[in-house]
Amino acid sequence: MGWFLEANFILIGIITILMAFGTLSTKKVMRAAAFLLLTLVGVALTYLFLGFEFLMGIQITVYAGGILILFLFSVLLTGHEEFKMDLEFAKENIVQILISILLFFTLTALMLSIYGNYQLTGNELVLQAQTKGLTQDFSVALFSHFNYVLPILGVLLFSAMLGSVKLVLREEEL
Amino acid sequence: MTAIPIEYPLILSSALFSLGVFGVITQKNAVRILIAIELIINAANINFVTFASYNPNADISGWVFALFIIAVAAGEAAIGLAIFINVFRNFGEINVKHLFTLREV
Repeated sequence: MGWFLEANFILIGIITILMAFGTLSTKKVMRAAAFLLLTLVGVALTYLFLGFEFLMGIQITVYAGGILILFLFSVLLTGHEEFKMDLEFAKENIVQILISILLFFTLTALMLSIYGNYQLTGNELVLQAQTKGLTQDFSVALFSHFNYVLPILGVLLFSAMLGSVKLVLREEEL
Repeated sequence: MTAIPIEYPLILSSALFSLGVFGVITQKNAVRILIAIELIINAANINFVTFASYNPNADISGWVFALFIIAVAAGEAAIGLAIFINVFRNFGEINVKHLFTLREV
């Protein structure tokens, strides 16, 4: 079963990276939002592989369901010109492309040199979950040890909502 | 249970992060820049979940952080898009190369 999980993870990872590249390289912004949806679903599946199915649900409902609709509406409400990622674009942005590739290799080398030799005894949380239930653990922690998280999020999202309403309404509409 | 080596999610997250940075520094449309920022946030989230999942002490705080980051990203997207809709109303475009000022024209 191990190699099957591993192969699936690699496949989904490659698809996610390709979709992320499509988000940046596609011609129309609306298509970029569609590619972003597929990227977010790929990341949600990654969470499932890492043993956190609750965050997968949150990712799909909040990101793919909520934030993406916001992006679609803002694409419809704003104008946009077409964008081409061709040879001319590559010539203009050669420094940026090199910086990104260098960043990728530096980050990967750094993290693998630190954590690559990390001897894993197995995924402790997932092992616990097989007996106790992981989502239950998470919910109990959220309402006991981390009980300040949800009120802070409430205040943050409420202020964000008020701020965006104030920004979008015009003076005469108030 | 987890047969996936820790390297795979780390490589995935650094690839997503680099693509996001590439988008932020090359794109001209403001909505596309916000989309690239979402990629960066997702890369950070993958790292949080990975290190929480592989923590031998079974610490759950990385997952709480991941939940927190998703909510912060939702707020950030709402505020950012509201600002850009306002900018589009005032300037008629959201190409960041042509926006040098935030004052009214």
